[in-house]
Amino acid sequence: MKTILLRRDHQDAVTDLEGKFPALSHVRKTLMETTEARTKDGIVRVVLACNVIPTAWHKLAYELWNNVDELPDNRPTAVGSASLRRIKNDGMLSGRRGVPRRTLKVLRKHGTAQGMLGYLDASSNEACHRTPLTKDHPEMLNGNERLIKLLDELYKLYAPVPYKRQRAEIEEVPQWRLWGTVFSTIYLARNFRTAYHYDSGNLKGVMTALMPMGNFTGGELVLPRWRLSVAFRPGDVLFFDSTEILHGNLPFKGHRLSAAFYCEKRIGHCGK
Amino acid sequence: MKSVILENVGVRNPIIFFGDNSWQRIAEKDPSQKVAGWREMVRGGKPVPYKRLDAFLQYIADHPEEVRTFDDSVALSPEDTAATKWVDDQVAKLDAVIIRGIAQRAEAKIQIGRALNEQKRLLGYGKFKSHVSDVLGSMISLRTAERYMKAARKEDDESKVDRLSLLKSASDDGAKDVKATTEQAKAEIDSQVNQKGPRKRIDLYKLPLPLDDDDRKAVDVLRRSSAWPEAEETLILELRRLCTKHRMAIRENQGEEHEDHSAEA
Repeated sequence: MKTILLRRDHQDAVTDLEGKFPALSHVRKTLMETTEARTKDGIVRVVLACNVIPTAWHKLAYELWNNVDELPDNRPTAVGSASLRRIKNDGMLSGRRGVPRRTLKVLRKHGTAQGMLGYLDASSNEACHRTPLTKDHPEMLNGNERLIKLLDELYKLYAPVPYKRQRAEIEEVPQWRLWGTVFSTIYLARNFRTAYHYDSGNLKGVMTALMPMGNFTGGELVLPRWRLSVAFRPGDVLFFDSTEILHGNLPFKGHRLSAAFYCEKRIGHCGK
Repeated sequence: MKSVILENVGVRNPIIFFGDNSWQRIAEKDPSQKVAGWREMVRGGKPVPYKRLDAFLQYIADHPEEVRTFDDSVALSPEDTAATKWVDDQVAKLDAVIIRGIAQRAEAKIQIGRALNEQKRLLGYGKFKSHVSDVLGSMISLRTAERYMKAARKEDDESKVDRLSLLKSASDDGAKDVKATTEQAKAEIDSQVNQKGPRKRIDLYKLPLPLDDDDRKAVDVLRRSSAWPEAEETLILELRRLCTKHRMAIRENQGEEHEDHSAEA
């Protein structure tokens, strides 16, 4: 596997980029083959594994997952809009905040949708639970069991240190994981060109496995901290800490579905 | 079971795919199989130059005679597994040490280059050259010093360009659409806030708050801004919390608008 050194760190400069859209000018280097990228401290930050998912498997996943239909109204930063108060039908301002309806309409036009599979940790008004999409469409999860297990295996192989950490966390609550893997949840994003954002709901200090599917060109993932982009294709998997590393997508053409396999931040509390 | 060996697709240890779509790492499956050997399991010793997994699997399906079988009942002993794992861990740790060293070396060159550039600026070219040869000459040649200085200048220039180019935002249609609709929505909300008519004045200044002129000005600015409704709610909640904490009675007039509660409290 090729190893590159991420020498120049723009962590200070990228704080202002959150919520803004990635541009080609933000990229100095593009990963296109199996590579691990390390920072000066020797820590592996990004691992791209190319052609590791059999075609039949990611095509099946695309078929099963492509019909997600929830609009990303709870992700204003990733959408690139602001979190605004809603205007109710009677013209009054609602206390609820989110992506403006006008923006959601534009996203719907582009076919943007999201969905969650697996388990979610407890929120202020709900205990740990299976996602509604999993309850309604168990086949979306069950049909991809071998894929999820393969991703677990690849994670163990390519990023053993964070894998061990994640396993220790999730083994506390074995009933809240997907088939003995280190993942509790899968986030699906269809035709979602994201602005720079952090994934705040994921467990910190470990990695998220990102897998694109579909038929598209473009859509590289940009990590402005190192002026790095990742040109991954169906069959490839990217591992990186999405809670700590700001990321977003370049525009793409075609149909693109992206799946993020991760462990919920407070999943360890579910057993208590 | 007939097994196929996956051409190395960048994995340190190759994965074996079986006909039933299961898989296993080769080291766990067959300890006698060396990395050099697994290539020989197909095509009689010639490495199979397949970069794409699907093409490779297709080849295997089309040429089953080239796939050797092996006894997959051979399992790695716990001692062997532990030893393999220990070696893997050590190699990974040493990789990190080497990479850290390489990074520090590069960083050190840049730092030396910056210091030399500064010396040159302070001493002027003639004196600088003699300073390098007299004082530093035993450790660094003038030629090397010049290379470091050039590298430092390049690094600083590129850092500057990098910082500037990060300021440019994307201008594709998708990004423009989202920005435009968000701006429209913001304008709508602002007009909605302004349409609400004159709000009842809350006599904040009658509250026992030690506000100086600057504080009062800041409060006035906040009350005129679109963030006021939310700030107001927060303020009322905080006042209620304090009243409850200090056991003060809260009188509420049901008929009045809720913003008056803070003043009454």
